[in-house]
Amino acid sequence: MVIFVTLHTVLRDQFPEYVFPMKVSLDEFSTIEVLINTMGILDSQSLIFVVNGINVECNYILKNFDKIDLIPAISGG
Amino acid sequence: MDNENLNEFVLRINAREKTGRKEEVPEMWKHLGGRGLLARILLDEVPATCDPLGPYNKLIFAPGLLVGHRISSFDRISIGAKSPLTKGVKESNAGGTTGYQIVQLRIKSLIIEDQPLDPKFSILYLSKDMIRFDSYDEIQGKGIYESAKILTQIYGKKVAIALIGPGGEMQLRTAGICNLDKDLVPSRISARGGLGAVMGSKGLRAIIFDSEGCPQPTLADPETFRKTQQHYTSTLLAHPQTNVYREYGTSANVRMVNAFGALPTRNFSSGVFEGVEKISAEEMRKNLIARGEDCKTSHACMPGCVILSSNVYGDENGQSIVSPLEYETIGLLGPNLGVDNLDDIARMNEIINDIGLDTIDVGAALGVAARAGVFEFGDGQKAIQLLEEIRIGTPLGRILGNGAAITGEVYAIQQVPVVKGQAMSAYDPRAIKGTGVTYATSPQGADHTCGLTLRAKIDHLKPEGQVDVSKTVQINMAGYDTIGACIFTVFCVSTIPYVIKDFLNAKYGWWVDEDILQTLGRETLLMEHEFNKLAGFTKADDRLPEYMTLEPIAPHNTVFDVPGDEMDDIFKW
Ligand code: SF4
Repeated sequence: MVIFVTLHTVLRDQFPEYVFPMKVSLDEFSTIEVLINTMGILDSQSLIFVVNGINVECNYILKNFDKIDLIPAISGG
Repeated sequence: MDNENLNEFVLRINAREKTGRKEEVPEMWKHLGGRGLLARILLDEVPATCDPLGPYNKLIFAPGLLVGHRISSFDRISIGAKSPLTKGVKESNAGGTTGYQIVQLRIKSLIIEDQPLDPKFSILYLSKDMIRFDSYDEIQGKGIYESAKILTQIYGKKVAIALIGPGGEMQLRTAGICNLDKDLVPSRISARGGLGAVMGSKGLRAIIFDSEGCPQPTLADPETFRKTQQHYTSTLLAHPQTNVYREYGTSANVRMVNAFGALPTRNFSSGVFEGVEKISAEEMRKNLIARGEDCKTSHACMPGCVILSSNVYGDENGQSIVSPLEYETIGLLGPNLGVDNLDDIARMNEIINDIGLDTIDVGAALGVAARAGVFEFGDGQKAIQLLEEIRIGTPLGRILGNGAAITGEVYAIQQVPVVKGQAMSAYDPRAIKGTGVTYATSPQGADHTCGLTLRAKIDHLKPEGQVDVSKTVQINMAGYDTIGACIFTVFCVSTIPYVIKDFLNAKYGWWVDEDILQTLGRETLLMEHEFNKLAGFTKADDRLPEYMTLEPIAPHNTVFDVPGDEMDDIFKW
C-alpha cells in the first residue's frame, strides 16, 4: 500500500531532497511504528502523529492512501 | 515560611498623590508570586465590582517565585488587574528584562493605586533609593518603538522599562504593556486583557526599573541552587523540543495546527488554510536565512534563555520589520484574515506592537470586521490601513482597537470568537476540544497559555475526557505562571519535575514537595474563580459562543459539544 507522508520542521532536515508529501510503500497492516523504522526516522519519542487530520498513537494501523503528518511536538506562543 | 533573608517588600504607588511607600510583605502573600500573587492581591484589595478603569482598580506587577536568578527562561514578569476587556481577573505575563530587574530591586509586588486628577501622563522611575514621577513630554504622541529608544537614551541601557503606547493612552481594551527584551526592543508584551488601558487610566506612560547598585538576592542554599540549575540547563539543552523551538520557533505550529484542522481561517470559519505553506515555519526559516542581515531564526528575549524560541523577521533587504513573529500572531493576522503573505503579517504585527496592542484580539477584531464586509478577506494592505486608523483614533479605529467582542456588537455579527469578551488564540476549539474547555472555563477568558491541550493523548474531536485533560493542563499552567517560568520550558520540566521543588527549597529555605507546582496552580485557579464570582460571573460566562455549538467547522465538520454541566465541575477537586 502507499502512504503519503508529510514531515514537519526538524524532521525535514533528514530528507532535504524530498518534496512533501512523500510517497512511501509499505506492507498492508503496517503500523506507524513500522513506517518510522522504514523511513529511518531518528528520535521518534516526542512526535505527534496525525492521520487524515486525526491524532493517533504509534500503534495505529495504516491504510492504503492514508495521509500522515509526522510532527515534532511544540506548543504555541 | 521564611522569606526574611530576601528583604523583599511591597511597593505601593499612589497615582493621584504621586507618592510611594514600602511595606512589609503580608504573611499570606509570601508563598506566592506571579499569577498566584496577583490573584491574592486582587481578592484582598480590589473590589471585584469596581470599574476596571476607575480609581478602585489596581495595576499590579509581581515577578514569579523563581525570577531573578537567570534560570533559563524563568525570568518572567506577571502583570495584572481587573480587566477592562473581560471585567474579571487578569494576569498577563511576558519575558524580557522587567522580571529580573524588579527582583533585584527586592520588589515582591508593585501595586499602583488610584488615578490622577490631571489627565497629563507621567513616567514612574524606580531605583534602589528613589521613587520619582518624571515628565513624559519627550515621548508624547510617539509609538512604542521610538518611545523605548528615547527612554533608553534618557535612563540608560541597563534599566528595564514597562511602557504603553498610543493604544494605552486611549484606554483601548486591547492595549497591552510592553517590556524591553535583552536588546532593548519593547517587544515582550503583557498583551492580553487590556492591562495597557489600566496603566493609561493610572496616568502612567512608562515605568523605569533601575536596579543599579542592588546586590544579587540571597539564596538559602546557594550550592543546591547552583547544582539544580546546572542539571536543569543541561537537560533543557539536550531535549529535542528545545531544538525545534530554537530552529523554527512557535511558527512550527502553523502546519501542525492546520494538520489538525484547527487553524483559524477567515474569522474561524474553517480549520484549514489553502495558503498554509506560504506562511509556514519552514518557509519563514528559508526566507530569514536567505535574507540575512538583521534576520535571525533564533533569538533570546531575556538574558540566560537557552531555548531561543524568538526570532527577528526582516524584509527582502534583511532589514528588521518585527521581532518576534510568533505563531498566534501569524494565525490571527494570516489565515484568520485570509492573508498568506508573511511580510504583510509582519508589517501588521509591527504596527500593532507600535500602538501597544494585543495582536490576538486585534487580529480577531479584523476577522470579525472582514466578516461584516468592512474589507475583503485576503486584503493585507487594507488591513494595514485599518490598523493606522486605530493609531490615530478614528471611530472605526477605536472600535477595532477595543477588540473582537466590541467589533462584533457594533456590526451585529454572531460569529465572534471570544469568551468573557476576550478573543481566542489560534486554535479552533471545535477541532481541539480540550482547548475549547480551557477557553470556556479559564477565569482569564479565552487564552491558550492557560491550558493548551494539543499534546494530550486523546481524540481532539470527541467531547469525552476533554474536561479532565483541560483541568490538568490549566492547573499546571497556573503553577508555571506563579513561579515565573516560560511555557516553553514545560517539555523539559515535565521530564525532571523535581527541579521545581529543589529550586524553591534552595531559594527560600522551604521544605515543599514535588507537587508544589500543582498546589500553587490549584490555589491560583480557585482565587481567580472566586474573584470572578464576586465580579458577577456565572455559568453563562463559562461557555463558548453559541455559534460554535451550532456551526460545524471544516474539514472535520464538528461542533463544540462538550457538555456544559461537565465544564461547570472543572474546578471541583
Ligand atoms: S523560550 Fe522564547 S519566550 Fe521563552 S524565555 Fe526564551 S526567548 Fe523568551
